[in-house]
Amino acid sequence: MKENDICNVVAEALGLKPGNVSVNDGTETLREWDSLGFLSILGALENKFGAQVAAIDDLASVKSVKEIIDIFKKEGII
Amino acid sequence: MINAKITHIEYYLPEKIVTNEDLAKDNPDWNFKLIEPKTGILSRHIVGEGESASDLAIHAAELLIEKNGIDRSTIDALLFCTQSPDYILPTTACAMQERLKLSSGTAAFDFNLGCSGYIYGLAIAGAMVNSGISTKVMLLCAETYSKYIAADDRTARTVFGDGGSATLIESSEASGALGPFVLGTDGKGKDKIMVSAYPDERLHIDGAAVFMFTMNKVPACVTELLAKAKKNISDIDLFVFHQASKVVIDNIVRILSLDESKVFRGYEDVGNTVSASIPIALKQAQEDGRVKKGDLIMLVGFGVGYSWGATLIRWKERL
Repeated sequence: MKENDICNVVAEALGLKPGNVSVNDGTETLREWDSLGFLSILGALENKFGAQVAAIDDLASVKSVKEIIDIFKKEGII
Repeated sequence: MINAKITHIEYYLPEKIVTNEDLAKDNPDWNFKLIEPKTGILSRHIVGEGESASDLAIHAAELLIEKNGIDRSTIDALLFCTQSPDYILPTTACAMQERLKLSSGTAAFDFNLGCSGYIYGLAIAGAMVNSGISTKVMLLCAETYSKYIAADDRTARTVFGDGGSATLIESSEASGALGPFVLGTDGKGKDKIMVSAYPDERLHIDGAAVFMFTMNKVPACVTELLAKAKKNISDIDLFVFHQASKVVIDNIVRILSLDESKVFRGYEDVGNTVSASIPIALKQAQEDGRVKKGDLIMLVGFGVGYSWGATLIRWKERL
């Protein structure tokens, strides 16, 4: 469920319909996930999951939804 | 509190304008339908061949002196904030003292900071005036980042513009026109915005890391300044953030739940002019009628270093 939340946050941040982004998507599969689109994703994650997200340095280098999920699990956010 | 105040601000932008259409012609693969809503920037001014940051600052300083009838002999300090100096040495401010025909009793020096530089400059100028070291300080901020940016750098070319500003800081009978200040540094971000001799003297930006830094530090900096000044967020009449880009200011506004009518945005036709961005925005706000006498304005700068700073100014009738 939480993983699906992250997919939907990413979709919404990129202006895509919920359900159009899966765990395996990322910079390779989503044209909208460019350097500027990534900023929207980071802002949307902070908005959804709280201020602690902005303090996770590793998040700045993720290239896929799966990497976000792995970091969030490691940090105990989901 | 500091017994110093800002009395005048002017700015100068180079004549050459580069629009998003111009950039799209050179780079057909850049999708401005995706870029423009994020940056909020439609055009920027770029220096011409042989034009330097000191030229932009001198233009702004001359405007300030001429428009306000300032007696050059009364200026006793000249501070130049730039990361685009004319020379490695001598100090560019020393050469500018001569170009501006200021007295030899002028203290002149450069300091190297980026987007937080204006706040640091106000802190230094305010302290110099408050301590009696100086009576009238001219703070110049100017950048020509365009010279550092690679032609194919989509993120930086669409965001940065060149520009220069001049601000006069003088003694004030009462405190409360400038300050208090919050200043901070996190050197762990040193390589996130960098121009280094090796490998190529080009601007390298880790946009995502810098964005995370702004979401993490800027709201905290605002909150810290409010506590230091014993003010509530509702006491602030206008917020003038460093004009980084739309997406950055959008997220700061969202995190702090700010009233958009109290946030100034002036990046559309100027871009991000680094240390000159806050004084340019302040002057634009005045020209747009967004400030009135007595308004309490928060200025917040943040970026390369990482470095950040915030202060409050109480607006006087005319700048």
